[in-house]
Amino acid sequence: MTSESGFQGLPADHLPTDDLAPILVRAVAGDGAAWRTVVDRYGRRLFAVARSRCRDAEVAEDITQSVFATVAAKLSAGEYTEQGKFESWLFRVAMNRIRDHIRRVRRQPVAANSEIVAEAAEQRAVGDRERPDETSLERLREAVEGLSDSDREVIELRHHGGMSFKKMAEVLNEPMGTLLARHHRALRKLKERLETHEPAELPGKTGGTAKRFVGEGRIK
Amino acid sequence: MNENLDINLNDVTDGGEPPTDLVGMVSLLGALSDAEREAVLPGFEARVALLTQPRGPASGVIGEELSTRRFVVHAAESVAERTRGRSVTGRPFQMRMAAAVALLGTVLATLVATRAALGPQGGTTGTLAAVTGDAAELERDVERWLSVYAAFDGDSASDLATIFDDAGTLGDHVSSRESSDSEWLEESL
Repeated sequence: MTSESGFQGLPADHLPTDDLAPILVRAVAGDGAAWRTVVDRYGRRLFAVARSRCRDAEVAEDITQSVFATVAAKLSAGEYTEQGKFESWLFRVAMNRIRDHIRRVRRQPVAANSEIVAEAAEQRAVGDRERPDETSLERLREAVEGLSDSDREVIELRHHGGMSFKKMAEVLNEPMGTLLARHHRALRKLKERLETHEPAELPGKTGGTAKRFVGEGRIK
Repeated sequence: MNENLDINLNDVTDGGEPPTDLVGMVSLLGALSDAEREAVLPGFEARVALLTQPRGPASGVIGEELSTRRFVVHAAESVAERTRGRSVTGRPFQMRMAAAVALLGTVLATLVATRAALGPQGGTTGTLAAVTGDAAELERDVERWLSVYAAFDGDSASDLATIFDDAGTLGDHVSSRESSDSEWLEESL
């Protein structure tokens, strides 16, 4: 899906970033179209990271709105000057907001988990009707959920957020080499989990699809 | 060669090409990312942009409208933030129950304090007279409590009437127990 800006779906590194400073200046001055451009450029990427963690589209949108509201307030207050770090700043605010949400959810384990499970089951049912390979994606979601928080953040920022490792290093305040190694390790864990546990975990379903794609690299 | 070193650390842009056996995994993650991004509710970008737009310089009505809308949105977010994950249903009942417990606690505390102040020296007649006098005063107190509480919650009249009856019954019960000198002495000793 491509939004009006035409940026969605492109890797982050191919997005034009040199023009961001004047766009932000116009947005802060009250130019709605300029702000819309900023939202078009980053909104879905933030949403995807939040949804991957929360498994709830409404919560993910709430978090995305909250992040943009915070950023807008700080821009209006003159607390940020664009020097090529906007994306890192935006995602750092987002990660803090997501972590806050996760902490709140974990404090209410019974209700929250049951809601998440119900939501996931509902989305799974919808997905099964609408997306032929949703079973494979759902397996992958579950495998990502099984990663440690640090591995999961790298996977989510890299793939759902479409961030470069350099930006991720700024967001997570970690050396880039560490993140590269962590990403590589996380990919291996995901692959092993999909290959090892797939048939046993999902009996009777169209098992083997994800495994076949993972092994042969035939997705898309 | 250690597979973990099979990463181009000089490539700060995309981390280099993944090992061949992980290409499929990366592709699958790409498909998952597309699915997550497509899961937005209709009108996502327009809604987010409208609700979060930075406040521009004061520009007449439009500026004021934006400012007001943002205030409302932020206030709603704040309320949602405070109440998210907590059930709000049944709270009026809980509040009424809390008020009832507090009221009964006050009545009991007053009665106990009265008994302790009189003690066994008060004798049967003195105790009964004191309790009767306190009961009338308590009734006035309860009525004042009820009138104040009713001002805050008009739907609680039936609950409060029940509480009032219970308080009266409790007072009668305590009074009847006060008539027994031996029982009072036993408890005091």
